Amino acid sequence: MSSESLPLADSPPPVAALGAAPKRRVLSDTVYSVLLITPAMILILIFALIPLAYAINVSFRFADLTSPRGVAEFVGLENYHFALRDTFFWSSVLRTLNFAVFAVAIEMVLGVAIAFLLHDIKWLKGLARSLIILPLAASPFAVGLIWRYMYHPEFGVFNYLISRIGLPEQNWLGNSDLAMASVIAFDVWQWTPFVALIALAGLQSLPKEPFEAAQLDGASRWRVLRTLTFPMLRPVLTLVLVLRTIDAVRLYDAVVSLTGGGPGTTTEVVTFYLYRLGLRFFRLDQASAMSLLFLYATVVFTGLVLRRFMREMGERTRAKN
Amino acid sequence: MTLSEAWDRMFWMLMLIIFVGLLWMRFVQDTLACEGPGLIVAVTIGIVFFATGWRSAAAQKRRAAAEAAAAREREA
Repeated sequence: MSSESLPLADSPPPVAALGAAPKRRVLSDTVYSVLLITPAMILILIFALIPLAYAINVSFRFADLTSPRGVAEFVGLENYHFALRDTFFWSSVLRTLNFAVFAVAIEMVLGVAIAFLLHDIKWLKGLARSLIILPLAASPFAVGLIWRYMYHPEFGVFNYLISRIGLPEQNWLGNSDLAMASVIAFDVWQWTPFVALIALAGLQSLPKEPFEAAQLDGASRWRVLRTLTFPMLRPVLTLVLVLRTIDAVRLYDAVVSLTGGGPGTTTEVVTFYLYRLGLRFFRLDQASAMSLLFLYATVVFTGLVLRRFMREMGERTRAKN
Repeated sequence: MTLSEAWDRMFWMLMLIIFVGLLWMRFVQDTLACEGPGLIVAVTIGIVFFATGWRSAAAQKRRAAAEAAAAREREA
């Protein structure tokens, strides 16, 4: 018997030999992929694109809900003109940036440090990870209310602790010099675990070989950190930075639960100002224009950072190949 | 230029048009007191941005095709 007539041991028997008809493809790949993303697209359309289109429409109209005219005639770019000159809006933008820069910077530093600690500890690793997730699992508004009591000038735990070490008690949320710092501290407490978890996942996915080679070459711990760990972690850290920045500039629930924008307007961030303008003063037109400007700034920032990130990733992949 | 590159360029063109328009409204409109020229300037800058990107992508594609042809000739 020639070798050609012998079936190979690894090859499956031909379909026809089993007596079954070959499977017919009912859907093409394109149709199948379109079908898969359709439910998500419908949800996005209903909950994001239609409200966005409505906001764009309202931003070009006169829409004062306290006036009998309601959403009325087309006024061109007047609302945008107002938004660009509204000092309250720009002050709230500055406060938001101030918050985002400090909160995200502290979260990144602390989060990465915690990730290194969790990566290195030898025992109770699972328990430590579970405990660190707790702030993330809690509702920001509910935890904000608890923190409000912790910040209380008379009954709060923070004043109790600092009085025990002989420092003067503070009005954490009522003092305009401390209010924003107190909101930042709350945000750092809640969101540092997120940075730590993602950085930890990044650390655990790093290949071991370069580190073993560096150890054999006698590289110091600092040098390994500077030339190996951080460059390899960079994509992960960039992603966390983008996610946290977007989330930080959308800050709302912490402000509502802790300070309500006060004292005065010290902690009135953009989202809270837009809520006040649109849903308390019912100037939907101006609030829509401002929120679209805010959306524009966020989209451009995210787009630029992600563009650079993707370019770096592409260059890295090309270099590997 | 591929479809995704064209889409990407168009997105940034739109962002640039909005940015120039906002700058015009904030700093120039008070002295000129009209929106029309601002719109024209913003759209023109956006179109120039898109056209420049289109031309450079086309040139890059031509260069890549020429290099590929040269490589094929060398192999032959």
